[in-house]
Amino acid sequence: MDKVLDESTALDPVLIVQDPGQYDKLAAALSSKLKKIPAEDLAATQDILTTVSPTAHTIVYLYALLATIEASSGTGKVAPREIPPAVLPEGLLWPHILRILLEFDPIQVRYCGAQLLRLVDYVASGAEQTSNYIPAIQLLHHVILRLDSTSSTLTSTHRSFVRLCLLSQAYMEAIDILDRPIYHIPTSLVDQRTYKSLCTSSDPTWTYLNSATGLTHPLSSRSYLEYYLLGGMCYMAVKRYKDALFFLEVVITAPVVQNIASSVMVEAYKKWLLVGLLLTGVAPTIPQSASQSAMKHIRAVAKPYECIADAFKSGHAEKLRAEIEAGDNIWQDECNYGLIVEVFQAFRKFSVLRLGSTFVALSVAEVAKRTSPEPTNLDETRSYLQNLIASGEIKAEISDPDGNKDQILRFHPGLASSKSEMEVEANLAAQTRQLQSLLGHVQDAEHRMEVTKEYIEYLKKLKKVKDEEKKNSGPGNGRTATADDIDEDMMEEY
Amino acid sequence: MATSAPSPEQPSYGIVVHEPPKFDLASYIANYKGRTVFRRLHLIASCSVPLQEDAARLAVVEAKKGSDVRNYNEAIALLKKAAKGQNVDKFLDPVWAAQQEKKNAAETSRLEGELKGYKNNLIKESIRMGNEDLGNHYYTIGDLNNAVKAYSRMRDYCTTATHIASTAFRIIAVAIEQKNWLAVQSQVHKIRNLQMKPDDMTKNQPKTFAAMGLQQMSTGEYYDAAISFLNTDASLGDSYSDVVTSNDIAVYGGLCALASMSRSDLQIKVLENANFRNYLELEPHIRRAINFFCASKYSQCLDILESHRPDYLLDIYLQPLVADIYKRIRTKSIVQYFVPFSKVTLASMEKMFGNPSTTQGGVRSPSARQKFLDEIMVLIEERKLDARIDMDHGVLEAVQHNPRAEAQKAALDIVDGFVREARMKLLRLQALNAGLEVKVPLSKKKVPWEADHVESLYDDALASGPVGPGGRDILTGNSQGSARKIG
Repeated sequence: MDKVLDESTALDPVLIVQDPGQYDKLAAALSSKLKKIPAEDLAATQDILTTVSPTAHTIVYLYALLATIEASSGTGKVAPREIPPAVLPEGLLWPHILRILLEFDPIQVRYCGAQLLRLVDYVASGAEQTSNYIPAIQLLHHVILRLDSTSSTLTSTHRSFVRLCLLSQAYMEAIDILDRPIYHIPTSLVDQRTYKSLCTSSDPTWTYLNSATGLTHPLSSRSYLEYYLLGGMCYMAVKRYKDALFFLEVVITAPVVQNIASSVMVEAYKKWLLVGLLLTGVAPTIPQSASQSAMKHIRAVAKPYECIADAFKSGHAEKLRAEIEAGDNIWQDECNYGLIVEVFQAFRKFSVLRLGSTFVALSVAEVAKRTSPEPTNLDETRSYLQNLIASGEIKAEISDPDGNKDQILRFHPGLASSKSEMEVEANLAAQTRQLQSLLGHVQDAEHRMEVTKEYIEYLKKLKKVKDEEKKNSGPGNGRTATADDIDEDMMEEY
Repeated sequence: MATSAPSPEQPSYGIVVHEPPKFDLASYIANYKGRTVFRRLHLIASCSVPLQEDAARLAVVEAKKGSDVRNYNEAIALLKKAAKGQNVDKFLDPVWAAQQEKKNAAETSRLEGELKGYKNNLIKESIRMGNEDLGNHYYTIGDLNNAVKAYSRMRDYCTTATHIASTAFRIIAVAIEQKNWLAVQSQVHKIRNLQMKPDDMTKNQPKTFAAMGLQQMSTGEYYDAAISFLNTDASLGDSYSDVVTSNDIAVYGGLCALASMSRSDLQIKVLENANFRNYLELEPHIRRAINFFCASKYSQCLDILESHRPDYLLDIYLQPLVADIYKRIRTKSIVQYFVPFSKVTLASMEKMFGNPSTTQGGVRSPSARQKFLDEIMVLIEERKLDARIDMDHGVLEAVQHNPRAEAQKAALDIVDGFVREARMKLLRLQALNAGLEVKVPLSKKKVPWEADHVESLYDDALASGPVGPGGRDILTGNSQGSARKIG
C-alpha cells in the first residue's frame, strides 16, 4: 500500500509542466495497478481515508473509498438497487465522499473517471432514495464545475443534476449550470488526432470528458433530450420563458431517424407551444430543422394543445376558456395545468398590450369592455391594469381627472426609447464578446467534424477526379454524386 | 319547359340593387352585341328591382333572336318572376323553343358530318374551318364546353399567325363567359407572343389588353389590371363590344387605378395619359373622381363613386368586385388623408369619411361613430395606418418614430437571433456527431411510434442510467399521460 502511495506522490503538478508524457504513463499505471488489487485488501486499509489528502492522492483515495463502500454494502442487508446506508448523508462514509468530491484533483481524476462517476451516481441515487436532495445538488454542482469550469460539454452528470434540481425545486442552482451553453457532446470514439495525453490541462474539455475516461456515461439520445426538457422546465419555473423556449426547441428539433418520435419530444412540444404563447402571444412557428415526419406524429398526439393555441390566436376569451375547461383532465394528467393557467392569464395581458398598439389613451371602461372577463366590474379591471403597470408589463398610467368616473388609461409612447445610449452600447459590446466566443466554437466544431467549406470543396474535387478516372477506365455510372453524399460519407468515416 | 328553378349552371348573384341606376337600359344594352347582351340583361333582370321587368322582357326578345334555348327558358322564368302574376302569355312561344331545339340538333349533326368529311380529305384548312363552324355553332346554342373543345381542336390545323390569333380570341370569348380566367390569361399570352404583321398587331393590341385587364381585375390584381386598361389603345372603339365597350374600359381602368395607385401615379399615369383620356371623356364622372382624389378632396371622390354604385353593381364583371374595390379606395383615402398630419381629431375625420346615409340632419348616431372607429381600428391593426387613437381627447395621433433607437433594437435583435440560431445548429451538429438520433429501441425493432414505445424507452433508461428506483419520476407521470391518450 505504501508503494502505491509513493507512486501517487510522484504525481505532482510540477511533473505535468515538466514532462506530461511521463505523468501520463505514471498515472495510467497507478490506476491499472489499483484496479488489480482485490477490493478486500483496499477496504482493509481504511485509515488511508483519514490520513491521506484527497487532493494529492485522488486516485488512491477514490479506489480505497469505493472498495470500502462495496465492503459495507456486502455486509449489510440491503435490497438490490438500493444504496447502502453508509453512503447516504449522515452515513458512516459520507464525510469521506464529501471530502473527495469537494477536493479531488481535476487532473488525476481523469485517470479514474469511472470510479468518480460511480461515486457521483451513488450520491445522486442516494438523494433520490432519501428525498434529501440539497447535499447532492451542491456536490454535483461543484463536481461539474470542478471538472469543467465552462460546463460546455454535456455529461451524464448534467442530466442527473438537473433532474435532482427539478425534484427539489432548486431552480437557481440548476440555472447556474444551464446558463452555460453546451458546445460539445462527447462521442464514444476518441479523436486520435488531438489526443496527446490526458493530463495536459490546456486541452479543450471534450478531450477528457467522454466515456473513454469514464467521466461520463455514454450519452443516449434520451438523456440528451431529457437534459434539455428538464432544463427547459427549470427555466419555466423561474419564468425565464425565452430560455425555456430555446431549450424546448432543442428537443423538438432533435435529429431523428425516419418516422420516429420520442415521447420526450412530445412532452417538449406541448410545453413549447404553451411557452411560445406566453412569451410572444402567438403560437411559435415550427422550426425548419425539425423533422417533418416526427412533427406529424407529435402534433397528432398533442392535438388539445394546438386547440389552445388556435383559441388563443382567435382572440376570443370565451373560446379559450371553453377549450381550457374541455381539456381539464388532460392538463392535470400531463402536469401542464400550471402552464395552462399562465396561458389564460397571459391572454388577458396580451389583449391589453394589443390595445396599446391601437390606442394612445382610452377609458378604463373601454378596456374592461374589450379585455376583461367581466366587463362591468371596473374596479377589478383597474386594479388589474395597475398590477400590469407596476410589474412593468405595460408602460402606461391611469389618470384620474375627475373623481372616480372616466378614468383614462394612457399608454406611454415608444418601446425602443426605453434604453439609454450607454445601455445599448454595453449590450452591443456584450454581444460582440458573445459572438466571438461563439465563432470560436463554430470554427472548432467545423474543424473537428471536418465540415469546413474549404475541406468539403476539396472533397468534392477529389470525388470528381475519382469519377473522371472511373469514367475513363470504363462505362462509369458514378455521376450522381452530390455534396450531400460526401457529407454523409464523412460522418460515417468519422 | 320553363322551369322556375334556375339551372345549376347559372350563377346566382346574391345581390339585390334597389336604387335605380343612372344609365338608360335600352341605350346601355345597345352598345353590346353577341351573347354578352343576354348575359347582361339576365343579370340586370335578376338583381335590379326597378329594371326587373324591362330587362326580363328585353331578355326574352334577345333570346328569341338567338338560338340558345336554355337562355330563352331562363328569360321566360325571369319574366314570370318579374311580372308577379300578370299575364305574360303573349311572350311565351313554346312552339319556337321546341322547333329551335330540333333545329339546333340537326345543325350539330350536319356540321359534325361535314367535319368528318373534311377529315377524310385531309385538307388542313377545311378541317380548321369545319371545327370553327362547329365551335361557333356550339357557342351560339350555349354549349360552351363543347365550343371550347371544338376551338381547341381547331388550333392544331392553324397555319398562319392570324388563324392562331382568331382561334385564341374565340377561346377568350368563351372563357370570359365561363369566367375561366386562367384560360383567358394563357390565350392572351399566346396572342402576344405571336409574330404578326404590324397592322395586325395594332388591330389586336386593344383587344388583348382589354381581355388581359379584365382577367387581372377579376383575379384581384388591381394594379396590373389598371396598367393593362391604361395601355389599351383608344382605337378599340366598339370593335370588342361582344365583351366590353370603351365606356367599360374607362370605368374599369379608372376604378382599378383608384384602388391601387398612389396620388402621383394617378396624376402621371391616368390623368396625363393622352391615350386613356379618350376613354375618360366617355365617363366624365370617373375623371372627376380621380381629379378629386388627386386634389385630396376625398369625400367628394367617394361621394361620386357611391352615387354610381348601383350602376357598377349591375355590371357583369364589376358586380362581385365593387365592394372590394370601394373598400380599397376608401382605405387609401383615409391613409392618404392622414399622411400630412401628426394629429387629427376623430370628429373631423368622421365628417370627411363618415357614411352620409347613417348621419341624419347633422346628428351622428353613436352607432355610426362606433362603426367609423372600428374601421380605423381595423386599419391600425392591419398596419395600414401608422397611428394610435386617443379616446380621451378624441384625436388620432401619428406614431412618432425614433429611427436610431429602432435601428439599435433591430441590430440587437438580429444578433440575438443569430446567436440562438447558431447555438441551435451547433448543438444539432454535435448531437448528430455523437450519434444521438432518436431511434427505435433495439429490443423492439420495427415497432412504429405507439404507446408501448413510451414504456420501452423508459425501461431502457432504467437499465442503463442511474435512475433511483424509489424516486418521484416526473417524466413517468407525463409519458403515461400521453400514452393513455394515444391508445
